[in-house]
Amino acid sequence: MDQYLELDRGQHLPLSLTMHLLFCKKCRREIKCMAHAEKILHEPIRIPVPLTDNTIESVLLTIDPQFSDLKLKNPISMVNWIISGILMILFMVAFAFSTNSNKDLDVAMSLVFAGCVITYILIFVFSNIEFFVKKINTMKMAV
Amino acid sequence: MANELLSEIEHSIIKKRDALLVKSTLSGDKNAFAKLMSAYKQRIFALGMSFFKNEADADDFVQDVFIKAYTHIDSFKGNSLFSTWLIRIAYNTAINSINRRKEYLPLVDEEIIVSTDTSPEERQIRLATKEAVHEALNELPEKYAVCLDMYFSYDIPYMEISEITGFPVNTIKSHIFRAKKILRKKLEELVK
Repeated sequence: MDQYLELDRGQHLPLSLTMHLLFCKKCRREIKCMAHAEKILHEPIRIPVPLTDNTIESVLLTIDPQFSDLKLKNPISMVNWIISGILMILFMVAFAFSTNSNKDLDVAMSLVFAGCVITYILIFVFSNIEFFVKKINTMKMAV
Repeated sequence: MANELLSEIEHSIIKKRDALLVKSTLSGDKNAFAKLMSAYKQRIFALGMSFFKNEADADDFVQDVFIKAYTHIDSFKGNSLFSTWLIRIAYNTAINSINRRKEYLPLVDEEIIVSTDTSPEERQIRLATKEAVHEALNELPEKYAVCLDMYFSYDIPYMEISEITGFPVNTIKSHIFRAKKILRKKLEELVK
């Protein structure tokens, strides 16, 4: 157990300890409990504050007196994400049915569509990153 | 093992997100900097409360730190996490502040930040953890209190705590090891 207590944040478990944990239920339970306890302690200060927080607004105004907080108050809503996703799919389906079969064009357009879908997903994930981080946290709690 | 993997994924997502936000900030996007502030304001505020012990001064401190961070953001090279870089600025700002009171109030001593515990069991574990860190703090010279806080409350690894505070890694490691031993004992009692 001392070997585990000596580990740093994010440090991998040594192989010998992993092997021990495979067979020792008591240590496994203790380690799970310790990890949970440490997580509980640092979780509250990781909660993000709203973008419209007074301190954030006053720092932005100090940095740039011309700054308007309108942009902060109007992020892209989930409805807009869903509508644009559906439109993208409809366009792809419509394109597939509207053109005559041409192998070269089909391959080229498939690549373009694949690029569009990947870009859409990347932008969606990075602009809603907090949601995904929370989701991972919930999964970690469940494990 | 699964937990470890999820932690690594979370760590790498946060690192990439922060790198993108820093890049956008450098190209003049103020919204990107607002997102960084949103993510890290609680941490800086908590550190401010530990040093200044009142909300008004802690709020001024938060503004001070973020303005400094914005001014020097080009010096962030991405070698460490953005949060570590920011806490280093915050720690140095607090240490150099002429208004600072002499003693540091550890985060575990007060409910500076509202807890997110959802069940009585979690509240119990949280209490036991705080007691353990507190017990370990009592056996330490006061100047090391911030190290335990950085590890247990701010989730910063040994090496980065050493870089921020200037204390030797081995000293930090042994103090944290002692605190973990107390925590283990407390949790054992709790489970029985």
